[in-house]
Amino acid sequence: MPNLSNEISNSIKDAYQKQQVLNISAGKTKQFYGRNINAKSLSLTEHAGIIEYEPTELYITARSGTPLAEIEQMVADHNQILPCEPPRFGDNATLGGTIACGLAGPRRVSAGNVRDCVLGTEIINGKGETLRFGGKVMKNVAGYDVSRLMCGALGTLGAIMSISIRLLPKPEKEETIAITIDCTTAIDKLNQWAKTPMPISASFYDGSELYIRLSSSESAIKACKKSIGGELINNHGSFWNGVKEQTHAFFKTDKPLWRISVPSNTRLLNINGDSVMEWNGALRWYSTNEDQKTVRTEAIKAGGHATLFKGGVTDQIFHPLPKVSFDLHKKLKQVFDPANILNPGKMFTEL
Amino acid sequence: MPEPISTPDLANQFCKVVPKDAVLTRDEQLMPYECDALTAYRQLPRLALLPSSIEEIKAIVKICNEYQIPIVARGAGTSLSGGALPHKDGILLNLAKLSQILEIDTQNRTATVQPGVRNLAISEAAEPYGLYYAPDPSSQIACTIGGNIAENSGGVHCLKYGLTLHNILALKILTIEGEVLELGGKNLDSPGYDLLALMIGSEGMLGITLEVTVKLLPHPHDKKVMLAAFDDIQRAGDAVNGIISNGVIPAGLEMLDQLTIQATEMYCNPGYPSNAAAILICELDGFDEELETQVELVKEILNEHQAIEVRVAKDKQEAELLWLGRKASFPALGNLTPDYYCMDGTIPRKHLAHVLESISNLSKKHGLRVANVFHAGDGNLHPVILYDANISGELEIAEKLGGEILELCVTVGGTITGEHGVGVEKLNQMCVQFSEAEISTFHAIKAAFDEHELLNPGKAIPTLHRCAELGAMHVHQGKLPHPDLPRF
Amino acid sequence: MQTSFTPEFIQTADGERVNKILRKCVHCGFCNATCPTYQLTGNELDGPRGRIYLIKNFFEDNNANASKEIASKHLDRCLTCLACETTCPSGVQYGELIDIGRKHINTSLERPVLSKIKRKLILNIFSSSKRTSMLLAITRICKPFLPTTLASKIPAKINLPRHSSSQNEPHTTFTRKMFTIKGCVQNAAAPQINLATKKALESSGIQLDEINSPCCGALAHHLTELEHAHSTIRKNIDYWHQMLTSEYNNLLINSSGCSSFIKQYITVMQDDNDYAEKAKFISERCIDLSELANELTVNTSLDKNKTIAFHSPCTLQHGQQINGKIEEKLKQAGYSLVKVIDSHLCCGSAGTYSLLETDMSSKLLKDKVTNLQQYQPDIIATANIGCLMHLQSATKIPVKHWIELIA
Repeated sequence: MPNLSNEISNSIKDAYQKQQVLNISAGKTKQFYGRNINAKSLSLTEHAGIIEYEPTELYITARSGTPLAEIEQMVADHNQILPCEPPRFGDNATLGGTIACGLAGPRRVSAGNVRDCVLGTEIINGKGETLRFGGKVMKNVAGYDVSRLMCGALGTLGAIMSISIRLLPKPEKEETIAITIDCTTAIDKLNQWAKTPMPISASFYDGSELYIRLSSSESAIKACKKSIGGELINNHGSFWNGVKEQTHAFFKTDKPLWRISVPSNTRLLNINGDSVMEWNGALRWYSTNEDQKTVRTEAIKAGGHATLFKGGVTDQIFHPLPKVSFDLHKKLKQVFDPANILNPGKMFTEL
Repeated sequence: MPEPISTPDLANQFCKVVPKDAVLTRDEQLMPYECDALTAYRQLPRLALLPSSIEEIKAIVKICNEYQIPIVARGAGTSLSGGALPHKDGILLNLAKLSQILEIDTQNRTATVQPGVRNLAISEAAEPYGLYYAPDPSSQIACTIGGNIAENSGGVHCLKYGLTLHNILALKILTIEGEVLELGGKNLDSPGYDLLALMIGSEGMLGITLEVTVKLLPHPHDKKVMLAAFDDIQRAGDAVNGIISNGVIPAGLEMLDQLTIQATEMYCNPGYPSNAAAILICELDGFDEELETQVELVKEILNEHQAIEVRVAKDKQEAELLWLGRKASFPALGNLTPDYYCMDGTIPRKHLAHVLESISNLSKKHGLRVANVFHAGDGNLHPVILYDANISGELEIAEKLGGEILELCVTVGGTITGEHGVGVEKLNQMCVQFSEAEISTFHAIKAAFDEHELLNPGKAIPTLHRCAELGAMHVHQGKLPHPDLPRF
Repeated sequence: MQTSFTPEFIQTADGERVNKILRKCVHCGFCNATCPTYQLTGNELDGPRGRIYLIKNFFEDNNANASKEIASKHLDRCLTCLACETTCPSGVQYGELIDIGRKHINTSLERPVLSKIKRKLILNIFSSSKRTSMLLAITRICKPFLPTTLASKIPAKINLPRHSSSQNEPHTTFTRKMFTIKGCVQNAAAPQINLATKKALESSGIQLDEINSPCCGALAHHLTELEHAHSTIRKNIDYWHQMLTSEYNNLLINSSGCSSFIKQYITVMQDDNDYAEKAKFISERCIDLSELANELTVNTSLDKNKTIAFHSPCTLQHGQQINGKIEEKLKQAGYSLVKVIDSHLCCGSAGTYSLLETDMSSKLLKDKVTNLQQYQPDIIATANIGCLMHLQSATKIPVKHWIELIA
């Protein structure tokens, strides 16, 4: 696959000179995420290919346009996984888009966030300069941690060119059990279990059933099943895929979908609408017509924040930032993109 | 620029906001603050301040901002890279008195603490609830969480449990403008840019940590510690790769070379096979049931790689004994030499044998012994250069040798610092690892937070001028511009 | 650590020692983590690493008059609890270093008159059992008129039983013969401890005789009254050496502060050509009572249905590195021991420290008592008279020498 760094760099240099705003994208599977922007498209899809994969070193380096599916297949062949289990939301999902959106999947609770597994990135900033931060090794504290700053920045700080990701060995075995339980008890149980060394790698509560995925050796899973109880489910792979890719029945809704991130022990939120819960209770999804003020107030009360993930008409997708933080965001944007041409307005109106 | 203020006048200003005995003014009082755990660099600050509350810190920072006085924040002063070296025109802000544990939230499994709380004190406070704080730098008994944030400290167990970065949930930061920036929360993510990640490891140059919320983990069910000896260091390195490629992530995986083994045997007698060229110490943890199978698997792998001896500790005492030598390896090496200089490069593990051989050549070239203690699992190498600071010129040779070792790490695709930070020590090597545009970006980030460069100025990021003067060759992606030229 | 002493200094006996000790220190700062005073002030100067630096600077540049004052203030604040030595990974002999530092800095420093008088008074009263008794008698009479903070420091008068009420038959034949000293403060404030010790030993087959040595010399040594200390020590050595070379196997000490110091005679007297050899002999023959713990017969008539918080004196756990022996004995006797948080930290007694550095000492005492009382024990036990009295002044829970719970 081609290395299009120079072409992309030239396009951005050109745009910088002409003050031409760019909409950086690749597989367009997560276009719904963030604010709509009107700008010239700069696609990174063609800038693809795995640059280096060292199974024994536990990392892979790939260009941003590389399909996530290709990477996941490649590492699966060596019995490894991407720790954060990122959703694809479509066949064309790329590694670059995954990093730029920073969305983690069900394994977040046991294996960390997207940024937690990023080791290094190469980016092109808003002046067309190619910059490399981080590296390929897990322990690396030279310079500010710019590569992780790129995670979830929605391409507003630079076009991500390549990424090195830390990998994990695939668990020896995974099984999922379902328990019929009410919501409060589910929250209590999840937090109780989280205080034990049980190998719970994912959890999902749909309003009546609590699903627990165990990832470990066969014998360890057996012991945990005994102490947790519940019933083993079939086809658990496709079940978790449904949760991750939001093809689960709950997500098939016409109402706006809110993603609410709260401390895991938070009680039931006072929001009308349907809801499900992931990440030991730390991630709550609501499909609701409640106005954004109500939703956000509830999230703040719980010590968290709310994102209008899909649908709705509000201009404010992400939780508004306090002034001191927002001022720093604007200054950082200036550092990387002085002409304000990279995905401007994708995150907040002024970013 | 405001009018320059005399040091006595400045001290008077501070005496209005903190008790008089919290303002250290005399040289004799400042002397013990002239360095941290890297004594090769020393500098007296103008004043040292010992605030005991957030309010006092805010008042101090306000004065510093007004008069443009540099601030170097300091926790326990255990940095090995000179991160807390004072600034000659600035004040030293000692945060050791902010040592309260504010909350242990057992439900959400978090601890909220002040910056001067010691790393180990967090785990001790969480112990009654069966929880602990995972990152365990070897100075964990003394080092503060504020310092850990500044350096993104690692430790023996970060192969499995991550660095400081992976274990911090929230920070309260005081900006140089005097505003409180709240980052993260007890939840798992935040809107906007990941300033939390940017702040961790920023060596105190972007803000002053006022409060920290860390993630607490349950203790693993059980642990097993094993030792494997090899008569060839390459085989030991291969065994490490073998373990990891077989899907095992040990909680800790450490390697000691022959000189270190001999030093520890003399120092504390942990019972290491002294004929070995290298030993591995491997700690596995997990659920009882999975642990047994893992131990068997690792044993098999070690034998496959021709370990001359494999030992599994039978009980806690034996396990502690196996760790003892590793933990005592620095003082043990200290017994062989009046002074030592500990380096901190990280390399992709596959280059281990090559790097160790090159280090040994560099050691011969400069005439100083180098011992190697190695976080083998994550490729973090600690070459320890043995020298005598009382012999004129030896420190300079040690520094030169150290610099060359770090540059070697960069050439094989690694980094100049895995967990100790750049501080003042590795500024020159930063020029090797980063390009001019990258270093400019770092400076711009610094300016976004701290326009007048008052927070720990001069650390971590070299000036472009310095790099130019040094004529250092920036190494691109592990490849030197002209790899055929001999350099070391 | 790099040092730059003048060749003249390094050639002196102390200079050589200082240099040797300092060269071991790598300035890692671990020692501060377990230093009680550093924990309180957070000031580098109040931790071992800072004090080491102060001493180093003093010897590298000892012209500066000002530096003596500051150095002396922070050296005075050191409890000499030696928790730092337990923590130090490099084996820095801080105790020896600070003794040398204090010797040189204090002798070249003129203390304020009031401070001098205070120190002389302390030395003269407490190094004598008689004078301590007198002081106690007077203060006990005045107790109702004293402020409570002061009144709480006065131990209650102990009425000793006329006859030993041991349930255990004393041995008639003894396997070993030891002697102990009457001592200074303990004999006046808590004479029952020596009685209990005698009882415990003699029912376990060890004869114990009490001799009339007034003080081990620690008090004067802590106050850096070295001439006074050395003259006391010489007298003791002469007396004890004779005892130990005749019929006695060991010198047994039940107050860890004293046993710790007598074991240090070997270093304290190393430059005294006439006494160095004998001092070594005494140090080697001195044993702390805890070292016999597992041999002692337990008095069956005592009520063991009690919970105990054990405070291990610094002179025991750090000074002599004796750990767990007493706790094990108490458990084996049938008591239950409660957990004590931060058990490595000093209670603030530290010899004369509680009288000289009252502010720091009372803070440490408060923290220590809080930690000892956390699990509401019935009794607090310890192994040193200084700690015992100090702790008792701040708690209603009875504080006892552990031997009182065994004999």
